[in-house]
Amino acid sequence: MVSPRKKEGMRINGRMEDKTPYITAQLVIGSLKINKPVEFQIDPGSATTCILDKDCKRLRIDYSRLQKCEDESVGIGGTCQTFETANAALVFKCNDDSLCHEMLDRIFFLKHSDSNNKRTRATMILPSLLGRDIILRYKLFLDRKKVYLEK
Amino acid sequence: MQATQEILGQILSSDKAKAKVLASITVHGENSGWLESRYDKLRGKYKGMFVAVHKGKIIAADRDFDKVMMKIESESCAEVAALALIADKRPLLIL
Repeated sequence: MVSPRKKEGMRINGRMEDKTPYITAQLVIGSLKINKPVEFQIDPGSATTCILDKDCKRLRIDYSRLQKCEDESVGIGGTCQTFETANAALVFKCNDDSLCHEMLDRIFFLKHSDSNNKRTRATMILPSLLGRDIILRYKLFLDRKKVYLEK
Repeated sequence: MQATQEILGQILSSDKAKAKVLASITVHGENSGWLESRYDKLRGKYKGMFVAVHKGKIIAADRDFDKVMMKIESESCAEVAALALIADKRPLLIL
């Protein structure tokens, strides 16, 4: 008797680098004419998916076309200006080379500014973050060598 | 102006558009991985600079981010190149 094969779920592979989980997705925002890839650090500590300073500059984000959030974002290092836009999508490459996508009700764009130029420059190190708004739609597997999201 | 759903529809319904996005995700991920895995080695030559990487090569480097962007935007790989600031030390991020 052949036992039924367990149906494999959809899997999106990420990458472990220096004990840090990363995943690449195509960011699509029609209102900003954005359809470009972004590397995210997978961060279950972040409530919302965020595009940080370096990627904002790389994507040529025009903050004047975004809605400024009343509250600043709070992190370990302090607060920063936060902007948002609705109706964004992330497109992922699945393990079978197909594409899958997730809609985001809103996505945050963080803008650090500081009178201290050295600190402002240091924020350009920060990666964009894939937050719990996306992570919790999947099961997250993470160990020293691999990371993936699975449905 | 195209809505997000409209762009998604085009990507998912056209083999050509799908292949382009698959390549975009793959190449940007590879470029980012290459950069992160060599981050410490790059410090010797590029400390304090922004670098752009594509297909295993540094294609632009400067202390000024905008100059790096201008250089890569003049080439066809602007969307998929990986960029990083090479800091004095590998940053320890507590997010």
